Parts: sequence; structure tokens; C-alpha cells
Amino acid sequence: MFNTSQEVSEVFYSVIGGVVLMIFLATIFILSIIRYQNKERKYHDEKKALNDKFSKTLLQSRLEIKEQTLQQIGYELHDNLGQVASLIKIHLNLLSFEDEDTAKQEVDNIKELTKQLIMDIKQLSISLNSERVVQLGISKGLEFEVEQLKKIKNFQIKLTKPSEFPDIDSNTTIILYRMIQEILNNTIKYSKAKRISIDVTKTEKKLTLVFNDDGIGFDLKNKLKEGGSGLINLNTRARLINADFKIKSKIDEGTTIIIEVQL
Amino acid sequence: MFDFTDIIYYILLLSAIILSLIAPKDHFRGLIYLRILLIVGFCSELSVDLINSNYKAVHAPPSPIHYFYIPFEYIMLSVFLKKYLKVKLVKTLINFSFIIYVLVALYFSIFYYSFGKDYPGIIYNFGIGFLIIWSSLLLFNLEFNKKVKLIQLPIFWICTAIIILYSGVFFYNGVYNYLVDARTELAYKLRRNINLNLNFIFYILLCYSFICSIRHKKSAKSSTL
Ligand SMILES: Nc1ncnc2c1ncn2[C@@H]1O[C@H](COP(=O)(O)OP(=O)(O)OP(=O)(O)O)[C@@H](O)[C@H]1O
Ligand SMILES: [Mg+2]
Repeated sequence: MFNTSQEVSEVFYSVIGGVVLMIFLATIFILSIIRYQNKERKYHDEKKALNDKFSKTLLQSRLEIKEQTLQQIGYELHDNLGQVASLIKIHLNLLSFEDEDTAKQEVDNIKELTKQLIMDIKQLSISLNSERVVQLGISKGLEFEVEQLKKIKNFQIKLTKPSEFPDIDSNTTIILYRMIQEILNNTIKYSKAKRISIDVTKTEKKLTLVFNDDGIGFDLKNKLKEGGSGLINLNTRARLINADFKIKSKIDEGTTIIIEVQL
Repeated sequence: MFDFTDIIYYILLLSAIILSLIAPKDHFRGLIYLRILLIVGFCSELSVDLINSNYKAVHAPPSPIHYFYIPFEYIMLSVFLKKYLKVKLVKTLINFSFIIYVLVALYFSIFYYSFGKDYPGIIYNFGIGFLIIWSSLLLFNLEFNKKVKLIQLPIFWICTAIIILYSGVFFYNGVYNYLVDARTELAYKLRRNINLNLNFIFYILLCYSFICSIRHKKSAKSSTL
């Protein structure tokens, strides 16, 4: 069949070469599958870690919302209810029964004030139930926060939002709500702003929240270095709820914070 | 003129064409190249068989059509694989390989083979070598798809199909050159059998990959509804 021994050895080597090639390809094939499976495992591990982190953040956000609620209750008790109660006490002190007409007048006043006090207490118990706010959704939550801000100081606050709000799942709502609170807290604590605006817009694919103040602004890089968990938390939480997060701030020009939630 | 295996071959090839046409273009990168390749493959195969219809299939000599189809096949498959390869260097290498391939093919067609009479095994092997490298690289660096399991990933089956078909052909083409002088009939017969059987596997895997992508589209649709 073969004429020379050279041809035989050529055939021999090409067959050996072929077999080696086959083994090589089989190895690559198996390695590829193993590698792919490792990628798969890594993905699942990462997903699990992310889920864990999400539940942790969720819990943390819930606690922080409660904490803030307590603060708000404290403020409300001291500044509103306390005031009214003091007024009632003053009226009671002034009460004298010598002149029946003025006494009647005073009692009427006290009645009126007591009525207001009761109404305020009712209002407080309704409006400061943080879980309720979350159940009502981001739209009502924003309204509520703006109301709270208005009570604290005379900022000019403008809230614009679409009439229809998209459905956001409750976990995302809680985290987003806490982010909003943190942003507004920072604004009232540090910005010295006169005007604050909150603009919410909605498209098919995303919900955009823009917080703007005309305050003193800050240097983002420095503040991140100095620490303060607020800004860092904002960033990580945004990532957890799959939102884009941007801070633009210039000293003396104010601060703009943008959150884009993917729907 | 067509025997039983030929008929199976054409049935498989036609099924692959039909499935490739049903497969969703948007869910399948580079599908168009496979469609073109399969259709051109069908036409050229059919014309070779018709031209050789006076031979018994086993004795059919190689045809000049192969000299056009083989480079065409190499280019189509490489362009297809290029769509999936991420590394820039590899993409550049593939582009570069086209030039080298055409030059090599021309050289061997003119100086080495008597055009249309010999089976252009060296030209074939040259492209096959490249194709095996590209598909091994691709397989090794397959992007992880979180929605789809590996065994339902069309590109996984296509790479597997390419590696199986071409490593087999590559292996045989080496031996063929020696056999064809010494025992022509045996060489033809072996080539035909090996080619046919490997092609069966190739088309079955290809069909399966199209079926996978059709299924994905369906499940993607029902999950968005
Ligand atoms: N709207 C703003 N205007 C001006 N300065 C701001 C504003 N928001 C944040 N800053 C500055 O960025 C710093 C960091 O804020 P961050 O929320 O990270 O920390 P913090 O509020 O001091 O602490 P924490 O939020 O953990 O209670 C603040 O100390 C403040 O100086
Ligand atoms: Mg803060």
C-alpha cells in the first residue's frame, strides 16, 4: 500500500498528530465546560451575597425610618403639642371666677385649645406611623416629608410630581424612602438653603427624582474622604435598588442630587 | 443517483435551513451568516450531486465547486464566530486570516492542485485549523448567560458542532493525501463516509441550537406577558 518507509512514517506521524489534536480539543472542551460552570457558581454566589446585602439594608433602612419617626414625634411633641398644652395651662392660670362673662370666655378658649390639642394628637398618631407612609408609597411619602420640612423652618419648598406614580415594590420603596429622608436631612442640616425643590418625573422606563437646593454646597471628594456614612450609604443603596445616583455640588452654588430608578 | 444516506443528508440540511429561518434573528447574533451558509451549502451540494449524477456516489470525484465553497464556508463561519468573540486582538486576527486564507487558497489552487480534479484538502485544512482555534477560544471564553443553561445555549452547540465536524475532517484530510494515490477508491469511500457521518452530527447539532433559540424566544415572550 505504501511505497517507501518515509511514506509510512509520514502516515504514522499524521495519525499520531491527529490523535494528539483530538485529545487536545477534548481537553479544551472539558475545561471550557468547567470554566463555564465556575462562572455560573460565582454568579450565584454573588447573587446570594447581593440578596443578603439587600435584606440587611432593608432592615437598616426600616430602623432608620423608625428612628427618624421618633425624632419627628419628639419634635412635634415639644414644638406643637407642648406649645398648645402650655397655652392651656396659661389660660387656666388666668382663669378667675369673679366676672362670670370673662370666665365663660376663658373656658371657651380653653375648650377650643383642648380640641386643637386632641386633633393634633390624632394627627400625630396618624401621620407619624412610618410603616403607613411606606404602604402609601413614594408619592405620599414625599408629600409627608415636605410637610414635615415646612414645619421645621421657613424654607421655600417646591414639590412637583406626576399625577400617576408607577408601582414600585415595597422593599425598594422602603430603601428609596430612606434615601429621600437622608437627602432631605442633609439639606436641612447643612445646606443653609433658602429654596429647595424636589422634581419627580416619570417615563416608561424610569422614575427620576431631582433634589435641588441653593445652599452652601460642598466638595464631594473631601466629604467622602472625611467620612459620614450618609453619602456613602446613599450610593450603595442606590446600587442595591438598581438606581442611578448622582451628586452635583459646588461650593456656594448649592447641591443637586439625582436618583433614577429603573422600572 | 441519490442513495438512502444522501436523502437523510438532504433532509437534515433542509431541516437546518428551515429551522434557521424560523429562529429569531434578534435573539441570535450573526444568524444571517448561518442562513446564507446553509442555503449556499445546499445549492452547491445539490449541483455537485447533479453534475456527478452519472457516477455512483461512492466513485464521485471532487468538483470545482468545492474550490469556491470551501473558502466561502470558512469566511462565513469565521464572520459568525467573530460576532461572539470579545477580544479585539482575536477579531483582528480573524480579519487578517481572511487575507492569508485567500492567498493560500489561490496558491494551492493554481500551483498544487489541478483545479477541480483534486480534492483541495490542504486548503480545507488550512481554514479548518483556524476555525477550530476560533471556536475553541470562543468556547473557552463563553459569556455567562444568567437566563439560559449552558446546554441550552445555541452558541455552545454551534462551537461543539464546529469542533466535532472539523477535527474529524482535519484528521482525515491528512491521511487522504496518501491514500488517494495508493488506493483511490478506498480514499473516496472513506472520505464520503466520514464526511457524511460528521455532517449528520453537525447538522443535528445545528438544528438543536436553532431549536434552543426558538424555545428561548417563546419562553421570553410568555414571561413578559
Ligand atoms: N445639601 C448639602 N448642602 C451642603 N452640604 C452638604 C449637603 N449634603 C451633605 N453635605 C455635606 O456632606 C457631609 C457628609 O454628609 P453625610 O450625610 O455623608 O454625613 P453626615 O450627615 O454628616 O452624617 P450621617 O449622615 O452619617 O449622620 C456633611 O457633613 C455636609 O458637610
Ligand atoms: Mg447625613
